Amino acid sequence: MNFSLLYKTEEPERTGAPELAKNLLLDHAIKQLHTNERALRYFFEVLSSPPLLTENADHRAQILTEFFNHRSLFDRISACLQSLDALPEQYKTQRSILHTNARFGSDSRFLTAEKLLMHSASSLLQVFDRLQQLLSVLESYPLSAPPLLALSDSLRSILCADGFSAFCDLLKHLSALPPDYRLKLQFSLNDLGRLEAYDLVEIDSVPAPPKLPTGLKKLLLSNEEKIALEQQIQIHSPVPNGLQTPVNTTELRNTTVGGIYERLTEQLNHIITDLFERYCKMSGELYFYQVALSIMTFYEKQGIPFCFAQFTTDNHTEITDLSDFVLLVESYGTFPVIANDVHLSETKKGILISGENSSGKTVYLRSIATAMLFSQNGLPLPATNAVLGGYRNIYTMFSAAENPKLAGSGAGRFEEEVANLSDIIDRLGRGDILFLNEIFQTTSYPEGAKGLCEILRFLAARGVRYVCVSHLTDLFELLGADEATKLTTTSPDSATPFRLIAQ
Amino acid sequence: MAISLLYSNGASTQPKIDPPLFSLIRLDTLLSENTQHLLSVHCTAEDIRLRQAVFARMEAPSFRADLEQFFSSLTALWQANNKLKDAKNECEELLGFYTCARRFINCTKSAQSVAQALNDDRFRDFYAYCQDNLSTAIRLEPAVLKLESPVKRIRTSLITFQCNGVWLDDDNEGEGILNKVTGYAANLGLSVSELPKQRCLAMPHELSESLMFLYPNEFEEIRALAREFAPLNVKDFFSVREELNFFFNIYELIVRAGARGIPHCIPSVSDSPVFRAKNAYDITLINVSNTDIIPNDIDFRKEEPFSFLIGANGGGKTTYLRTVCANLILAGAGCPMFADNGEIGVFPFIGAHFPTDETPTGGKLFSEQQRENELLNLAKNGGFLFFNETFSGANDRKGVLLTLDCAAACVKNGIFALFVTHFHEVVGHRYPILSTVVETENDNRRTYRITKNPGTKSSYAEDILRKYRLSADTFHLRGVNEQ
Repeated sequence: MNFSLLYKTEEPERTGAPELAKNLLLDHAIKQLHTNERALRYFFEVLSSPPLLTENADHRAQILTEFFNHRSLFDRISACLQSLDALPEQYKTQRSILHTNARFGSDSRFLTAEKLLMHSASSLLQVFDRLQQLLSVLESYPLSAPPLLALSDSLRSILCADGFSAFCDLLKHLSALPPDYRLKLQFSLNDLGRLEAYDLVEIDSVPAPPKLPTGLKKLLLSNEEKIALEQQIQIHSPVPNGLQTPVNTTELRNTTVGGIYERLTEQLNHIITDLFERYCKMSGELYFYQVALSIMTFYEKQGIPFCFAQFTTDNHTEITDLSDFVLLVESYGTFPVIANDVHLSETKKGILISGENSSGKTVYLRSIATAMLFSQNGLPLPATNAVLGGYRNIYTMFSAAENPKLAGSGAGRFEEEVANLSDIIDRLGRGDILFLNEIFQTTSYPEGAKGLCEILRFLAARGVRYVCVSHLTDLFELLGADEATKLTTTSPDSATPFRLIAQ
Repeated sequence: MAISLLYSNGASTQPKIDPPLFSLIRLDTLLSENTQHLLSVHCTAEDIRLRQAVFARMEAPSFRADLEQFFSSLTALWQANNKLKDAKNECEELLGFYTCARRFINCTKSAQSVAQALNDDRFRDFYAYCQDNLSTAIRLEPAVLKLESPVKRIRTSLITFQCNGVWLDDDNEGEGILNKVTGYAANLGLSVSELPKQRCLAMPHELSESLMFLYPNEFEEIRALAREFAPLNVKDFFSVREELNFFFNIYELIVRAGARGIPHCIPSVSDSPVFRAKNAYDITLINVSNTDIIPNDIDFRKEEPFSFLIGANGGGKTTYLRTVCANLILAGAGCPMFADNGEIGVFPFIGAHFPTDETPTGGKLFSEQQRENELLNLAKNGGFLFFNETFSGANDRKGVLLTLDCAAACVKNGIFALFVTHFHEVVGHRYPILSTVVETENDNRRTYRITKNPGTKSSYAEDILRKYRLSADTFHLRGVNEQ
């Protein structure tokens, strides 16, 4: 299992919405709260690809709450994870240096294999050491977040298991092979007389004394030495000092033992890579929490009520006292921000909003889109309560008339809008939500309303929900009260802020 | 006479097919080089029947199992024999002979099962050879079994590398370090790699000699065995090995085709030139996934040996050509063909011309004419030729004239031929015309059937566009993508 602070379960492959945070002006607002550019870049990257699985949103919310409750935990885990995450690069670089030396230097293949083995063994010990540090940090807090508890359990299952210390002892032995040592190699020949299977059974750090081991029958020696030894075997006397190893037995050692070293290194490399995969991808993810903690701190300092969304499997959505996040940051307590409720159900899949210019229609639309985006990302939203029913992808489309990139005549802009909308509809599926802000207003209003009405009905029939801000009054008449919630902004006088009421 | 499962009267060396033809019709992607070589050599009607007899028996799983067992034991014996031939010292010779002897026994037993199953007078030489070897194997077996333990002792030992030399020992206990690492890691729940099998290494000369010194009695026993039985009569077995490869390679193709729902049949063999098939398939399409392979009929007889094939681009003309050509090659070499049923005569030559680039010595048209003449000359004694868009390098007027001249030459010389062309002007002459006809299946898929008719000069483009719902009146049928 690969550990991630952002995902409990791997997300199905999908395309993100890179423009979403920008369209909702979140980039500007969040930059007011956090200044670390690198962290911000990472945060927006994550924010723009919100998880489709609610368990991933919960996963983030649980970790974020833990970090918020234990501020020092975040710092200590950051330090541990950073030192852990640095290992893969170090490991790769050192291996690469050893390989380069082998290619261009004077090291023989055997010597290279030996060095790589020692390097892999010591690297694995280093990984174990860093994991031990991480476990110590986690164990020093009364954790309650399931993802962090799971991480802790996982580490314990390795570092506290039977056989762990024996494994470390063997690794220590392999990581510091002495310059002169004795190797015992077990082998068997296959039917074709080839060396088929061989493995080391012993690497002695102390050179053996120059005498015949028990059961010795024959040496791999030159003819003269064989004759001499034959006599020695017959009389069971020890072999004299200074025996020479024939040249091609060095080759035999290099091929067989070198081959085993390579296989050992490959196995250790596999284990190291596995550990890297599991535990060494989390430090970057902490950037997300760094920014998220700034948002929470902002709520806390400003006394803004916030909550994490609860997810339901039905299509019911209820958000109470939702404020627009961007407006909250802009005001920073200098002017009141009006909170509104949101309600969507199985039957009413859409919200239509009308009202005067600058009466807060777009702000309301933006507050809902932001709430959806924050909730899917496991971030707290500025509301007292939020229950969200099964959303998948969030799409936004804003008027071509307001898009400076789309120059040209009204007809050209309308065509551009239709093309864009067609492109979005191609991608829309059941459970997705589409935010439409004053589109189809560059053509005649009745035609725009009729076309948009048919599109909205088509979307609803496909299980897509929508929030649509529009000046097209015909649209409000064409769509029935049972099809969409119709809201309008209103204010009794110029001094009183606008409020949303049902039409 | 050498034993053979392919030739009734000795192997032929007379070429029948120009080797590039295999790649032109993509058969090279399906068959091994050995099989292509055997397919490209002339075989008589008797050879065709002999091979068909083997393929017919291969339909029975029990015979196939026997044949596979024979092949695998034969391959093992062949490897051991090669190793024995390469032996560099007595140790290798003796260990090599022991392995050969053991494998010879297995091979002889499995060959005997195959010989009995063939049960046909045409394979009497093979049967007699197996009988001879079996009697040797019966005498050899007890001696080989007796040597099992000594040889096992020789094969498993311990080498110690240390500063004062390399030592050999028969003490062979202890757990390997690689095993230990893997075991520890698995125990900790860490992912371990399934390492690839260890590379086998040649035994160093010194080790061989040392082994003889370490196990003198054991080697003496093997030496006694070799004195009595060497050399073993294995040479003729190895000539059958390549032939078995041929049968397996073709059968593998049959299995792959079967997985795609393509049937196969053993065609009847005719003494006169004929090639007919009902619902024949282009077998080369099995490499292309998600493609419906449409069967078509084949009918080439002495009375009507030549046909033009015309039709729209992408209408399956080349596919049909491959269908005819590949099945002709297979059936003509005694293999099953991919059709419901068929009939095959003997064609001494099969050749083809496919469009190529210009040659250094002349233009494209020049090279096409050269190739045409060459093919007509090679096929004049009864061949089957395939032309695929030949003369496409000429202008329409000249191209039509050259195409019709080629047809006339084929008919005059009794050459069988299929000529694929986009020159619709060939219609209306005295030659049979095959053309592609688009048909619509119930599920709206397009299919092409090749039918024999007078042909048409019109384009099929409109039909095809409508089928793909790309014409103006069918745009509304295009649905919105569902997620």
